[in-house]
Amino acid sequence: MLLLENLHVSYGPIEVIHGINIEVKKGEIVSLLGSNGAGKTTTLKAISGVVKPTLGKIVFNGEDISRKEPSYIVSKGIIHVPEGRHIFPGLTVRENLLLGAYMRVDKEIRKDIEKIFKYFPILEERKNQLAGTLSGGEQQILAIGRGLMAKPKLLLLDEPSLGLAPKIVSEIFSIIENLKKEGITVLLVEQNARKALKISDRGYVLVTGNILLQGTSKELQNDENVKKLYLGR
Amino acid sequence: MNTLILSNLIVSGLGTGAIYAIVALGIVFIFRTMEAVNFAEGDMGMFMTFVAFSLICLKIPYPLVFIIVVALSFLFGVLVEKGILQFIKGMSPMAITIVTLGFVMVFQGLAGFIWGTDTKPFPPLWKGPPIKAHGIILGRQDVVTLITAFVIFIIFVLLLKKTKIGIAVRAVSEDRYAALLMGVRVSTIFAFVWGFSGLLAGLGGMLAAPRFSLDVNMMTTIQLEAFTAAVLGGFSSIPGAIFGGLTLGVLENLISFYVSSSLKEPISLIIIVVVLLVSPNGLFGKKMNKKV
Amino acid sequence: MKNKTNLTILLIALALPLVLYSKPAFVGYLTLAGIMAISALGLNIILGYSGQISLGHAAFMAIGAYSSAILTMQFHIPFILALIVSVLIAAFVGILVGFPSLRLSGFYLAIVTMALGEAVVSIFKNWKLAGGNFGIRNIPPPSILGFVFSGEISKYYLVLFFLLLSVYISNNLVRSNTGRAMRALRDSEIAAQSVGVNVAKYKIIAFSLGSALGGLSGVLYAHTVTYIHPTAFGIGLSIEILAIVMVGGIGTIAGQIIGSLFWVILPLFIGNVETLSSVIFGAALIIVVLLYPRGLVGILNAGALRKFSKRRR
Repeated sequence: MLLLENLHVSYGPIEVIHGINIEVKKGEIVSLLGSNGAGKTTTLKAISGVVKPTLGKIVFNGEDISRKEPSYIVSKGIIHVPEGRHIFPGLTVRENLLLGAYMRVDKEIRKDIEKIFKYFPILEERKNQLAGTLSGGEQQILAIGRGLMAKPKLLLLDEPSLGLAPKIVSEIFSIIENLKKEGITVLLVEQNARKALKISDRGYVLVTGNILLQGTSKELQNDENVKKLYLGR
Repeated sequence: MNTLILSNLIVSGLGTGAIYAIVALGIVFIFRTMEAVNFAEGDMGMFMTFVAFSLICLKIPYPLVFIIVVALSFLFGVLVEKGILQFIKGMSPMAITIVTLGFVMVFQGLAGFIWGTDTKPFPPLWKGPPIKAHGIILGRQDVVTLITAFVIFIIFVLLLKKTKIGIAVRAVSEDRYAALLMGVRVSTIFAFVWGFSGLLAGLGGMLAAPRFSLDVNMMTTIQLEAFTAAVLGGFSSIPGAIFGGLTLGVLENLISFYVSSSLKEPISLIIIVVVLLVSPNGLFGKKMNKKV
Repeated sequence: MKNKTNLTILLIALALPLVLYSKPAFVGYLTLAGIMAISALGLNIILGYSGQISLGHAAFMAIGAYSSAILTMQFHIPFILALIVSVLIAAFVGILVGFPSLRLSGFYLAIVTMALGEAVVSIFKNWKLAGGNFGIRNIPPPSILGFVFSGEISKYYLVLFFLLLSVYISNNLVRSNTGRAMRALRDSEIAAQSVGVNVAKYKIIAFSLGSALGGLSGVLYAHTVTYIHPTAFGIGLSIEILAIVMVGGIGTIAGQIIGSLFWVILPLFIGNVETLSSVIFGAALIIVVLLYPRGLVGILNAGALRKFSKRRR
């Protein structure tokens, strides 16, 4: 479904991604692991078109999207839920969800908002509240819900568990697992490698802009290096 | 008797204040989304009012001209954004602000070159003697101004609250990056914002011209008053700009009647300086996010 | 190398009136350019060196012009004394205007300085001694120790002298610790503060020095043009001075002179149509901001810059 081929990304004169290859198959959850500054967020930004790669290709369902605008990429069904949630604090919960559906032109939007509310009852309770008044966990749920409003084929989740209480982290991960059941493919960037590998099919380990390791989640969970570096064992 | 004078002063002050509010709204709208101050807001309006003047000279009935020029003003704003500001993508808001100072010179120069630097007559939208009701005397142009302002404020608020593009505009001013990830084309939003600000400017100009005069410098003072209104309202608040404009109009009338008419002009300057120094968030504004 | 160029330019400036002896009007334009350059050098200290925006710079010209005109005409104070007092008044008002800059930055400072500038204009408009809306006419030409600078050429040399003085002041400022501190706070106020630069002090110094030069320019304007009126010093002129600084080359001394020459000479090329030159100058400002942040001086220096840029960075 998504193929990164020899992807290079630079910020000005500094290259941060040095030619990586990643594949995400339809229906999978794929984890992208790595420490801070490894280039995970940059990779997602390149996929969603916010930054343009200097070299290499990003192919989505057979189409090269590596130099397309974010709006085009959203319209193709790739939705990026950014790190730090980036909800619109001065807009109501409902308006945030409406913006998720910005690129859609069908008439089902209202219905889908109701669906989201059924799925995440907390958002319905808060629907007329300003999003900035929500708690961190609620904001993360809103960010995911907003992403779902675009009817994504591929969801890019950047650090969805960052800064949340343990109980809410588990909730977020079970939400991600459920997304898979709904048929949504997920590329997940996480620092919480243990939990990420538990729910994903395969994973990649990114170290300073290079793919160091890749494999099924089982393989990675049992890899000595991964254990030492990311699983804290 | 005294209350009658007072209410007359208030009502006619609202008439002037509505013009300040309209122009202030245009400035605030751009500031909220681009963080840049458009010093050419008033002169966009001046230019479009001259366009209206030319159309009137062609014997096109004024109400029709009014509508045409409102539409043209929108296009004018879009053109300014698409034609020039597009190229400053990624530039600092201060650079954009200085570019708008360049616009001031260009628009004033161009208007002077095309239409001359002398003062032109400009008709009111609704001619006739002032309207009297319950002892309150109000010029017809004031009535038109108040109604137009009221209608445009309602449209504006509905637009921002209820329409897709309006919500997207608010999203862009809150978090440009997140809006981008939703698929919002930020450049389209900027063009729309400039278009709507242009529309407000044109409206402000056409409403102001019969009251003041139509010449190249007509909007200089009005824009200053609009800045005061915006500052009163906290500079990034839309209701703040509206209330700020109306308050300023009334305040000017009251002070020039009860204290001294020579204070009418300096009062807004004093307000700008004092408000910005004492309480930069204005009287109605929310907290501003100070950016380093 | 650089000194040689400067010397050549100085010699040309000194010799120009001799060449243009038969065209006193043109010498008059050059004098005006010199006056604007002094004002621009003042704004350049505020905007270019210390990074504080001011949209009220013309008001300092007004203060200088009016003070000197009133002092010489109403109080019969000798020109040179009036000049010194007027410049001091402008510097003092500059200090007052500098205070808002301690609390405000960016757009808010732009708006406040614009308002203060308009307030000054409004004071002169309503002040009887200053002639109200009509301004002041028949201001006597400058005179020093009995010598009256009445001809175009003598005025030119007088302005040239003060221009050189302003260049000297600017140049010394750039090389001094004060100048370095100012540039530090222009580049990053917070960083400057963290290395112990007294931000408040240098902002005030910048505003007072810059305003003093604005005042000086106003004094010379009043006594060479001999007629002043309040609206001439409004926001329009302030924007034009800012445009001169930007178009000439912000942060450079040569840029202010080149920008002023451009501003004065441009209308001559397009048949003295003031409105059209405003359009062209405004467009130049926009183009400079968009494409050539170093201004005309940068474009002229492009060759030299390319040569040295590698070593400098």
